[in-house]
Amino acid sequence: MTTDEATPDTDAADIPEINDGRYLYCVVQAESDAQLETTGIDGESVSVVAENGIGAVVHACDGLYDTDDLGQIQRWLIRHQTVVDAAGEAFGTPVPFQFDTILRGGEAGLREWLREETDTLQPVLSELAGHWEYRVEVVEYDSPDDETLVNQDERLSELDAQIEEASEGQAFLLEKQFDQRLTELRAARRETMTAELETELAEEAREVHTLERSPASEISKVAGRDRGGSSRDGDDDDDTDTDSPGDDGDSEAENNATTADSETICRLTLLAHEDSEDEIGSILDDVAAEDGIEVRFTGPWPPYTFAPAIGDDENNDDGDGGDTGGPARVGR
Amino acid sequence: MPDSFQPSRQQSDLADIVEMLLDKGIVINADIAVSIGDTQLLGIQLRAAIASFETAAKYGLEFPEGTDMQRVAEAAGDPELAEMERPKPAIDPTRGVNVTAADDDDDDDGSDDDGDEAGGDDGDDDASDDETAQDDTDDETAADTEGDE
Repeated sequence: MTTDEATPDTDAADIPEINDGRYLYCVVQAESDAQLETTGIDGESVSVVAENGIGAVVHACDGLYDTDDLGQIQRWLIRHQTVVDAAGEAFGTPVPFQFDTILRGGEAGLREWLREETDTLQPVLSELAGHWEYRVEVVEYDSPDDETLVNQDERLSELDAQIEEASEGQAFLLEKQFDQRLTELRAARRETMTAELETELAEEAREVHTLERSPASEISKVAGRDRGGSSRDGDDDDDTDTDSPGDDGDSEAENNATTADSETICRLTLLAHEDSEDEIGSILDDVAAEDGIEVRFTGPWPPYTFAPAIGDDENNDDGDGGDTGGPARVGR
Repeated sequence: MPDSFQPSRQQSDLADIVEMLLDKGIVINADIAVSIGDTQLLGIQLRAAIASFETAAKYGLEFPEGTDMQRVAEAAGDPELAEMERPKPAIDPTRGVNVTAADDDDDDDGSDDDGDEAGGDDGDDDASDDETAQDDTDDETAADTEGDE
């Protein structure tokens, strides 16, 4: 019934059958008698299947969860997360799967897979034990206005003066240069602030990665993942807004992170031991104490961003450390 | 402000959940597994919906002004939504995703095979009625963040 509900409008013939699938929530360190009292997506009953000390938290299903109903997606996502949370509480740091990951072959297939991947999963589980993902977003409410930047930057004041005296046509071109310079300065300022914070956090966290300033682009990349769209080249933690100086082309991306009265300076994700929470909190305290700065600090999350890709990598976009390239794949 | 900055899972976490669950997590690259990233055929609707999710995600999945969060929580069957702080006004509310649209999807309330969504036997925080929404938040979204805004 899950399938029927999940894919009401889809031409069933197009969808590969999954007979006796197992929907995967996470793996945990667990012995064979492990149990988890919780309810899964769509009310399914969740069980723990363990081999070699590795427990997979799963429910039985026979199709991918698919719907165009946002409310339904939200419910599924939150339920998935709730199950992973329950697993974390019961067994310690869970290593979570991507939403909608289903293994074929019933329980036997799952056990077989766990045995085959023991050598991959076991070290991941022990390395991540006691560690969680934390997310930090720094938002600035009074970014320096244009005038302040003009006063601070020689090139800008120069352009400003030239514009005053230029003819209409020249002024137009100069204004473009002026805007571009402003954009560059703002980006450079963000980068400096971000780099400082990253350095500080790196002393307490095991890993620190920069995320795109707006989550939207991440999500659109998921939507385009099968076209290889989820990977970007290495230098681009900020390219949504700096690489295209055209004053229209970049405005959409820019708007994602910048509103009329605030600007996202950075979004970071950290992998840190739970004992380091206070130290990280106190670093962020200092940042948040600055005027006009707001810091959002969420977690502890299961280490989604630091979970590995498993299996042959023929589906990976090769080369540039793309989206499925192992624990460090957020390195943008 | 609390003494030391503690991480919370309250304010912006829906956006985080969407991003992490859909884009991160263990990926299995093997024939034995299927996932939304696999083929053009899988998860089409989901991916389309996610594209429209973007509008909401831009604003940290803020719900439009005046949204009754209690109602959203009921519709979503997840009490923690009710605990979300009233979001900041969306920049352009007309572009926000109307989450209450979930109301017309009554599967969970209507069909009896889904009974546990309505709060019955599962011991965790799945209950979707108002009262339990209040006292169910203890472990997951401890309401200890006064959110500094």
